[in-house]
Amino acid sequence: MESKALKGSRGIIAVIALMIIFVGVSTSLLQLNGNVARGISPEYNALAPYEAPNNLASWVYDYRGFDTLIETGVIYVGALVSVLAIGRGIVRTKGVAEEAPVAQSSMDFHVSSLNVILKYFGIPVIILIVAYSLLVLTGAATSGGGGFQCGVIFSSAFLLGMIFYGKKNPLNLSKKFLIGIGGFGWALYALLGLPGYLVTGYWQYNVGADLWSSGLISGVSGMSAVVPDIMRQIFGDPFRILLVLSDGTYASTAGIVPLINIGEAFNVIGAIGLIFLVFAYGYTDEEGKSK
Amino acid sequence: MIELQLFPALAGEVTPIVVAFVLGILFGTQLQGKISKRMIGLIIGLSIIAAVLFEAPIFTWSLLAGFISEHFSISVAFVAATVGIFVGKAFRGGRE
Repeated sequence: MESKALKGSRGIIAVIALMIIFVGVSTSLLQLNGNVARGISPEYNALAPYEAPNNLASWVYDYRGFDTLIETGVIYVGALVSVLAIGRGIVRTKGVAEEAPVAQSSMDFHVSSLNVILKYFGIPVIILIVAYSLLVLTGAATSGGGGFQCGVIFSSAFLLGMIFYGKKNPLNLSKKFLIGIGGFGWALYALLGLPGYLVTGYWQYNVGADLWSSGLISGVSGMSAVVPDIMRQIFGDPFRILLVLSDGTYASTAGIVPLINIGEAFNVIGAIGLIFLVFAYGYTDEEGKSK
Repeated sequence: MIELQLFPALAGEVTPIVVAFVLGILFGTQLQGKISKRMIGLIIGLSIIAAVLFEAPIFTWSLLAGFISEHFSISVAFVAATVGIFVGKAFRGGRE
């Protein structure tokens, strides 16, 4: 930044802001003196494994569910803004509307002259990658998978099809489908907070797992009468598994976490797929004419 | 250690398989072009091999969920997703 930019009122605001930050951080550090408030993390670390074998899923989609919800929104909005700002498309930019988006004559990437291996293994690989993305999604609570990963893997299959087959991509995701699935995913994630809000007053309270009234934490039983059994059964029982741990066997459930991951996956598929599609073909795709 | 069960101990072992199948149908409807029976056989075969490699999810104890022994299990959800994709493709038809 040039020094001229800090002259006048901007400079005064910048100095005041820096002073506030400096004073705040300094006094915070001085007050520490060994008295760090430990927060709720230890309790949650102790509880999380009883919700889902994948502790990370409990943290990201339950304990920090709000944070992840907004991050999900950022991805979707970011995709739309990127598309609006620079989504003219490789094809349109290069002025060769009839050509496959990344097929240059020197690369010889047209389907008719594709390498035999690519030609015959492209479709199986795309289908198997899609299946793998769904496996990762369904393993959100029990393994290192989740909605984000599913969306990224699925989008890679979509991109692979675009590179191999151009507009004859076997995985033919239209703009309308991608925007729809992305919006639906985000809405599903957000609305899954409603059951928790209605019965406990806390948005996105995991009514299926209902950790805080499970009796696993001594002295915390305030919500035991709030979450009705029917809600626990609807959102908890479909995902209940037998958790065999060193200290005993528990019939635990991830509750709404797997459902949230489905919404998350839809959103990421929509957002990243839209970026790939529009950056390759442009914002004003001529879908109607091609049909 | 829990012994193998013929039926799921709890619904959480089956629900992921159903979800994978249903979502497979959803995304299968987005496939275009024709896929020969030979190709379908190849993909199903590859998916079964992959399912053995991926194994069943942790804490699943039933045959339906793919658990056979402690050291050998099958990811039924993966096969269900692959089959679901072809079912979805069948809904859409083989038009170009």
